[in-house]
Amino acid sequence: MFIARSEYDRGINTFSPEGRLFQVEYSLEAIKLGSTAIGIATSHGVLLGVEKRVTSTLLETSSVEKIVEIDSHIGCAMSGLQADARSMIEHARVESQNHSFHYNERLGVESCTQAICDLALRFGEGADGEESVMSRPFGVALLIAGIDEEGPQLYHAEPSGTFYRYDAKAIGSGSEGAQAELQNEFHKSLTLEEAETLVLKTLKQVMEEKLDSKNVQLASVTREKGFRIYSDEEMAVVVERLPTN
Amino acid sequence: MASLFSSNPTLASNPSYLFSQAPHNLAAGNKEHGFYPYTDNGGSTLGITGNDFAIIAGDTRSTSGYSINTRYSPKVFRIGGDDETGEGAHIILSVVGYAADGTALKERLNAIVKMYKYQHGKKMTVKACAQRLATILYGKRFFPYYVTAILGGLDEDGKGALYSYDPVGSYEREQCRAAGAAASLIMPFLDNQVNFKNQYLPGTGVGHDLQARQTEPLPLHEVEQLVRDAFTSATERHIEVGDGLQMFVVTKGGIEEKYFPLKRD
Amino acid sequence: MNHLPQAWGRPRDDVYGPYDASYLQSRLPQTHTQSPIVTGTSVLAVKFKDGVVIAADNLASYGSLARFTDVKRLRPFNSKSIVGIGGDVSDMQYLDRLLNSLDVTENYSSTGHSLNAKNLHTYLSKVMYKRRSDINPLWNQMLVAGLDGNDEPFLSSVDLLGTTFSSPTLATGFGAHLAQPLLRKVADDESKVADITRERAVEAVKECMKVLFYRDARSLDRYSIAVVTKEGGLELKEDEQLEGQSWAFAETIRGYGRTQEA
Repeated sequence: MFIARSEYDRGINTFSPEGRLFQVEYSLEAIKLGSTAIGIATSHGVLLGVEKRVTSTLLETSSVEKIVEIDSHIGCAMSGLQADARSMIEHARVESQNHSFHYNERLGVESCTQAICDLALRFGEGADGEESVMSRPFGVALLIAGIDEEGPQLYHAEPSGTFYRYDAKAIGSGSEGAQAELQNEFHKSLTLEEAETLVLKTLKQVMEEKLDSKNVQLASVTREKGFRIYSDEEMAVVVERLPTN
Repeated sequence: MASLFSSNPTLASNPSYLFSQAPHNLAAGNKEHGFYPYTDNGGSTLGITGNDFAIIAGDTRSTSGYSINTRYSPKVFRIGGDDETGEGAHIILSVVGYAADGTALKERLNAIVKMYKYQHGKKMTVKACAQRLATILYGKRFFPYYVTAILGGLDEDGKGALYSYDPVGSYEREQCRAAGAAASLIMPFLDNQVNFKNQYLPGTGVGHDLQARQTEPLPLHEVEQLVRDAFTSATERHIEVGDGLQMFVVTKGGIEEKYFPLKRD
Repeated sequence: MNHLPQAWGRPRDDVYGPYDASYLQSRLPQTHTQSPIVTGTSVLAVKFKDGVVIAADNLASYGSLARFTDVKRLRPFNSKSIVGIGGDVSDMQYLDRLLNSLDVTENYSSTGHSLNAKNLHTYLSKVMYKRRSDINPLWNQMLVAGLDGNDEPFLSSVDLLGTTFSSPTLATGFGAHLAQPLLRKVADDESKVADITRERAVEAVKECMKVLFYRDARSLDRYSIAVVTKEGGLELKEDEQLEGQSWAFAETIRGYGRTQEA
C-alpha cells in the first residue's frame, strides 16, 4: 500500500489520475485494523455483536463501548477509530431527535443511515477555500441496526459515504472470515436466538483472544423492546449456550 | 439662573451653546407612526371529518376593509402534490386571515412535504405533517404567520383526520372546526349538527334525566350538505363571506375538488 | 437680560416651559419608510378576450399638491407584460430599477424564453412580501398585466403587504372604490372575459379614468394606457388626454358654501 504513495496522497480531496481518492481508501484500511463487529437482520429483529479487545487484565471491560444507542429504535456497532464514531453518532442522535420533534414520528433507519453518511465527505477544504469541519475522512465503519415501518433493517456505512443494506454483515479485522461464515450460515427464517449463537460462533472463529462473556458484547433491536444492550447475565447465558469445540 | 434654564445644564456652565450638547431627554413617550405589517383578508374556512373521509371548505372572497379584492381567491390547497395543480397530493390545508402569510405558509409546507418524500422515500403521514406545521408556525412565534390553519387528510388507519391550529402553532386533532371571520357563526352550528350538542332524546326524562343524543359518524353526503348550509348562512350574516364555496374532499380514492356559487352581495 | 450672554435671546423656561430638544436627537431609532411621500393614485385594468388593457394617470402628488404632471406610471417590461404602479413614487422608481436589472439578467441568460406576466407577478410578490417581512415596505400597489405562459390574458395585483389577488377587472387606490364597481359591470366573472372585445374594454377603462378625474382630487386628465395582446404585443400610449369631459354635473352640487341655484 505505502509503496504506491504519491503526490495525490496530500490533497485529501484530489483525485489521482486513475480516479481514486487515496485518503478515502486509506480510511477503509483503518477499519480493517479495527475490532470485528457483526450484524444480522432476522424477521424478529436485528442483532449486533462486537468483540472487545481486552488488552490488559487491568482493563475494566464495561468501559469498552462499541455498541451504542442512537434512538430507542436504532442502535449501532462500530469498528475503527472510536473517537470518529462519536461525532457521527452524536449527529445521528440529534437528527433522530430533530425528526421526532418536527414530525412526531420515529426517524426511519435508512434516513438515519443517510444522515450519518451525509457527514462522511465533509473533509478537506471546500472549492472556495472555506473552512471545513474535518481535516480527514472518518476512520470508522458502522453497522446500523433498527426497526421502522419497513421492518427490521441492518445497514453498513463506510467512510466513503456509501451505505448498503445487508441481511448479515461483518466489519473490522476479522471481517473476511466472518463474512464467509455468515454467507454459509444465514437464512431468512433465522430466529433471534439462533442469530445470537451465530454471531458469537462467528466472532469466536475470528477472534485472537478466547471468547468469553466479558470480551464480547451483544445488542438487539426488536419491535417489543426496541434497542437493548445485553446485560452481563444475558451475555453469560448466550455464551453458555455456545457449542464447545 | 438654574431655575430659568433647568432643562439645559450646559448653558449654565459652558461659555457657548452647542447643539450636540443639547440635553438628550426625550419628551415622554416616543412619537411613532409606523408601518403595520398585517392585514385581514376576511373569509372563513371549515373542516369536518367522517369515518373514511375529511372535508375542508372555504369561501373564495378576498377583502380589504369593506372592499372586495376578488371573488375568487382560494383558501384551501393541496399539499405535497407532484405539480402546480397539486395532482398526487394526499393532504389538504386551509389558511384564513392574512392572505400573504397564508400563501407563504402554504408554499413552505408544500416544499417541506415534497422534500420529505425525496429524503425519506415515503409519503408524509397527516400526523407527521400536522406536527411539522406546528413547528413551522411556532418558529415564527415572535413575528407570527397571522393565519388560522386547518390541516386534513386520512390517518394511518384510513380514518378522516383533521388538525386545527392557532397562529403560533398550538394544535389539536378534532372532528370539526370552523375558522376565520365567520367562525363564531359557524362553530355553534357545527357543535349542534356534528357533535349533537344540546340535542336530547325526547321523553327520556325531565331536567338532568334527559338523555343526550349520542354522536355517530356522519355520511359524506350529509356532511357536504352541512358545509353548504353553514356557508350559505354565514354569507347571509357576515359581509366578508361570500362569492363562492370551494370544497376539498379527501377519501382513499384521492382528493376531489368542488365549487358552488355563493351570494355575491 | 442676565449675566449669561449665551442664554440671551433664548426662550425662558419659566415663561415658555423647558425647551423640547427632542428634534436635536442625533441617535434616533432606525426607521424605514413609515408613510409614502410623493404618490401616484389609481391604476385600472380589464381583461378581454385576447388580452388586457391597463391605464394610470401621469400625476405624482406631494400631499394635496399636484407636484409632477408628467410621470409615467405604466412600466413596460417586455412584449407580453407591463406593470402599473400606484403609491410612493420613489419606491416606484426603485422597482423600475429592479425590473431593469431583472430584464438585463434575463436577456443575458441563454435559456431563450422570456419572463411572462405571470412570472413577473410572482417575482414582484416575493419582493414585496420580503420587504414587508423586513418591516421595510415598498409603499406601492401594483397591477401586473399581460399574457401568461399559455399566452392567455393575465391580470393580477400585489401590494405593500405582499397580498396578491387576481380578477377579470382590477383597480388600485381610489379606483378600487370608484372604478371597480363600474368595471365589474363589464366583466363580473372570469367566464365573461371571452365575450369582451378590445374596444369594449378600452372604452370602459377610459370611462373610468374620466369618473376618477371627476371625483379623485389627486388625479389628472393626462394619462397612460396600454394594451397587451398576443397579436399586437405591447401597445403603450403615454400622453393621452381625457376626452369628452363634461363638468355640467358640478353645477348641480350643493354645499361647500354654495347655497342658491346657479
